[in-house]
Amino acid sequence: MDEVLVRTFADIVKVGAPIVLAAIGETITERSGVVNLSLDGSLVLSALAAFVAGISTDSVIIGILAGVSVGLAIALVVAVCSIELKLSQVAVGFVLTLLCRDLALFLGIPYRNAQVFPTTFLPIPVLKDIPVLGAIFFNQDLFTYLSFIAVIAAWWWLFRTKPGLTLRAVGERPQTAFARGVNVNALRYLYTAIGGGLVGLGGAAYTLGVLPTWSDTGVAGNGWIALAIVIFGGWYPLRVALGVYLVAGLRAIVTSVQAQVPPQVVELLNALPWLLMLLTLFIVSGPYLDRLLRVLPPRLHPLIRTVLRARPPSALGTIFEQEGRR
Amino acid sequence: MGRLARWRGAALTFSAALIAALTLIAVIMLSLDKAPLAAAQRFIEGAIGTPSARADVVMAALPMLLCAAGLLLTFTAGLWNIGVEGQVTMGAIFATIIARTIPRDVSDWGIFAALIVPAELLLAMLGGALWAGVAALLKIRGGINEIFGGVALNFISVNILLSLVNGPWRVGTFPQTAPFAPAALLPRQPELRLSPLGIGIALAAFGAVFMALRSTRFGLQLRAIGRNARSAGILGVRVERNIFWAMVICGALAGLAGAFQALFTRGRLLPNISGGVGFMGVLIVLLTGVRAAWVLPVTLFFAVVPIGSLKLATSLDSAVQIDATLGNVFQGALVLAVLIGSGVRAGLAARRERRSEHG
Repeated sequence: MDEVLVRTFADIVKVGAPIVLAAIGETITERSGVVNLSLDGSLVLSALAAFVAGISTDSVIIGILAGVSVGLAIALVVAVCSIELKLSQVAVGFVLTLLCRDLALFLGIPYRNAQVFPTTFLPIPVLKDIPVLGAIFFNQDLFTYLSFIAVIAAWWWLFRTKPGLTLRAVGERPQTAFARGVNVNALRYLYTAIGGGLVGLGGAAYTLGVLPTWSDTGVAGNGWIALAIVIFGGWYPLRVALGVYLVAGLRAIVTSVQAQVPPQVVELLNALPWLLMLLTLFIVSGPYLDRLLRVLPPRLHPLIRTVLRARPPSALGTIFEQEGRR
Repeated sequence: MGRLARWRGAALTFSAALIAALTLIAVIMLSLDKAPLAAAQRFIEGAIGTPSARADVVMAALPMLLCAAGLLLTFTAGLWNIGVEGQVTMGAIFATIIARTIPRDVSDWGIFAALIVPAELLLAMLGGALWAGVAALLKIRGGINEIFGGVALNFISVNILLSLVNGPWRVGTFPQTAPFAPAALLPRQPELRLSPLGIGIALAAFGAVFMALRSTRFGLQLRAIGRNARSAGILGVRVERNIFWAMVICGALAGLAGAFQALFTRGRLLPNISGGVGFMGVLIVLLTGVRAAWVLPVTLFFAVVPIGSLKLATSLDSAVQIDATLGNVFQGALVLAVLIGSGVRAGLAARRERRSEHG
């Protein structure tokens, strides 16, 4: 394989890592029936927290812990407001996303492009020497590996374990799950917190890995992308990861042609990921998929349905009135 | 619960939330070695101390009021029109299509000179309505949630804006158009930065929305859809058509807000032309709990914040000099606190009710 191509793929996987982490976190949260719309603000604020903690202690671990705790704390606000106060998750999440972003912009002023965090580049011996795959997947920084682990762990937990089945039941049929003895709201707390923690890890991945410095413009907006990709990926971890790499790939293409085309065209090309997602969702969620299938050979139908099917968890965004114990 | 008790409860919630948000700001300022009380005094003086500052507040409130008015319609129907930011941006872009072609001297245009601003405003409304219409169609025909469609369209509108000001419309070294000619701008009083025409339009738009929600069939249908879209549909309300028009009217008003930003606030088209007034409108409507009667005072209050913050940001006294972003933090914290407060209040009321039921 062409060396430039390998390097491009390696780059896509690397810059996609924070979005993968955030989107997988949101996938887990939404699978339990909670929408954490604060994703974008969460990502920016946890990125700042991770950077400040990391740079002042010279420790990646403490930086990560700071980022994760901020993401987790914000997610818990959403959970408490939804479960205890019965507020709209969308309303609270939306206000939080603006609040956290503005807070990060304000508190981050003294740190703006001040320093660069030392590298978290961590090639894995032996594995990195596998031709092509080694260079793409095992010659990366710490956060890229964490993003791989998150995807695989989320997939395994959701679809190959009993607690994962319970988690999906809580998001699909909370009444039924409750009748079978599941503490619905406790699980929603748990998975909202885990999801928020992953978003925080994604924030840390920006300021300690990808960028690696504090720049609000480098982070803001990507939380919205992640939220969109969760829908685009139909709440399936593997498809979500693919969606992220697709978007990162489109961005890489735009970056590579940047020098050759006039700036007005570059700006329009930057809209491509959003156009792609709108178009795909339009085809998938409307009545148009059936029309599309009609002109394709029947042998392909199951495959296309598996790849394109997208249905939100039935109880997504709803409040569950749990009686008795919490 | 009586009307008075409800009103008192809401006022109590708001005061508690205000104290919470102010405390947060004070803590942040103290941690940065600033003087919160001196800053508060400077803030209030700067925002409402002089006639020119008060005029600035009124003018800053207009685009927010227009967005909030439109959002009252969509929120009443239970729609989260997050795409309002993009609709503002498209309004500004569409207004610029005419504004940038107007020469400095229009003395020989005669009657046509008087048509420039109305034409710009109409085109801006068309731009915003168009963008909202896309979001509405994506929802109705494509089953795409309006939040997601709106976010996507917001980003796309920013890309279009950046493309224009970096490319064909760019004048000079910065990505922006040339300043618009005076004839293309919203007419203003020479002494104060105040535009009676703008105030009139915004108030008329708000009044129309207020009346539409209160006493028309359209408003009633939107309320029915907001309560329960399926039941409304079964009872004969044409849900999709009403949703479409609520979105499109909101988009037209947001587009008008965008025109205000381009033709008054900035006087040219540049990146971030909306200045966040769309999201500010969402915050205002959330804070009022989608109650039209409260929107006007809350909007004025929200407009005080950026004006006062700007005075603090440009202050030479380092004890009160602080970045204007803190004003946004205050607004966000206030709305969050109000939401939480109303949740707590509703919870307490429910508990009281349960207790009186059981004995």
